[in-house]
Amino acid sequence: MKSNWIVSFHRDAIALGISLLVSLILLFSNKSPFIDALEADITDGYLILTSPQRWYRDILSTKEQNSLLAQKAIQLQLLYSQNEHFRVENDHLRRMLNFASINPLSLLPANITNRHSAMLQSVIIDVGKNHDVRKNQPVIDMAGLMGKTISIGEIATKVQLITDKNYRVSIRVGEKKSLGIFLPSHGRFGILEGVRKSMELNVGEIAYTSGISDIYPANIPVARVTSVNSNNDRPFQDVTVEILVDLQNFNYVFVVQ
Amino acid sequence: MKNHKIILHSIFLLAVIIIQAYFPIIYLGSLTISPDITLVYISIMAILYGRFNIIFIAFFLGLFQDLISQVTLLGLFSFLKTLAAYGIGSINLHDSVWNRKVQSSVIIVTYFIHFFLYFYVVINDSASWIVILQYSFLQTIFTFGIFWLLNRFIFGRRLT
Repeated sequence: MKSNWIVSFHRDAIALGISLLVSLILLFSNKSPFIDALEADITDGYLILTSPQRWYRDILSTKEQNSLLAQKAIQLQLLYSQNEHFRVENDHLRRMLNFASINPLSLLPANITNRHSAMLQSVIIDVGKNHDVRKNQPVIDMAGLMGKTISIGEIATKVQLITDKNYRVSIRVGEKKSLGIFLPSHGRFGILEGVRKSMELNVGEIAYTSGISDIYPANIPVARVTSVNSNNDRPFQDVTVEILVDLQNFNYVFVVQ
Repeated sequence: MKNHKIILHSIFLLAVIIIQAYFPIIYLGSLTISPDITLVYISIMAILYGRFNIIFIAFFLGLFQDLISQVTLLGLFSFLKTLAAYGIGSINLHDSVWNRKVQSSVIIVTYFIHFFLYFYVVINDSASWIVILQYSFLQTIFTFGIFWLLNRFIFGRRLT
């Protein structure tokens, strides 16, 4: 009788304790296969739930996208003729130097379906296993690196954004292509770690993926240097950067395959 | 009768998830604010029905939010939503003791703690206290604004 009374009196606290404990267990061990599978299923379900949103956003943005693309097409046409000339010359020089040809990146276009958090850390895109998407493939848009695929459903994929607290990418920056690691800090800003003081770095320079990791091919733009400080007591410079991708206004992205 | 209630609440729960998914983001300069509709729902339910059941609902709603929006911090929202449900649920226990101002203060403080802890964990820069406070403050204002509107016009001030 007494134990029943105690349980009913403290049931709120017990419920709180159980829920908090389970949350903490999830927080500290969230990469189990069960959670992975659940994440993939929820991602698929969420895509279906938000399909009307994508439909009307597609309609609203089509006209605007069309005029932008027409403009881009003309610019690209001009560039193309110039590049065609360079290509012929490049091929000729490569043959002379016996270089292997470089395969261009294979890109799979995708549509963003969610962006409901004030501090975005992940988004869901409308391609999945059915489109041959795999885990840890880079996701880019026209401005640069956006993130990587994390959880793959049949028809949808969760993308870990470059702004995620635990996101890291190896980069090269500056004229000497010095190596460093990109870490997000807050909003659209981040820092570059490991850039040695001997490397000259200027504001406005772009950091590109180094190509060292198995995930990211080289030379994808990542961030622009906004401030450099060498006056510290460490062997490395304090480099602040701004992420190139506009994470507030994206619709279409590309999965690098 | 009980089944009828369960179905009704399940529909409400689904509606909350859909509204959260479709709710527009507010842009304030470089800051983006997205009012937390699930937190408003948890607040209303905790005030109306007490905190025992709502703690579990909050946990599962938080977990759903985690599965949609988190990558490496799975469990963060479920942790914070559970805490918020417990805090706001105390209004139901002290309904006759606390006046409206105290009840509103409890909600605002709980919202602020919820968002502050969230942004403290999420923002990866120890030197950005101002940014964390800015986000927490604005999220609290907008989320409480929605709660206030619902309380005023839909619930006829029955909540606080």
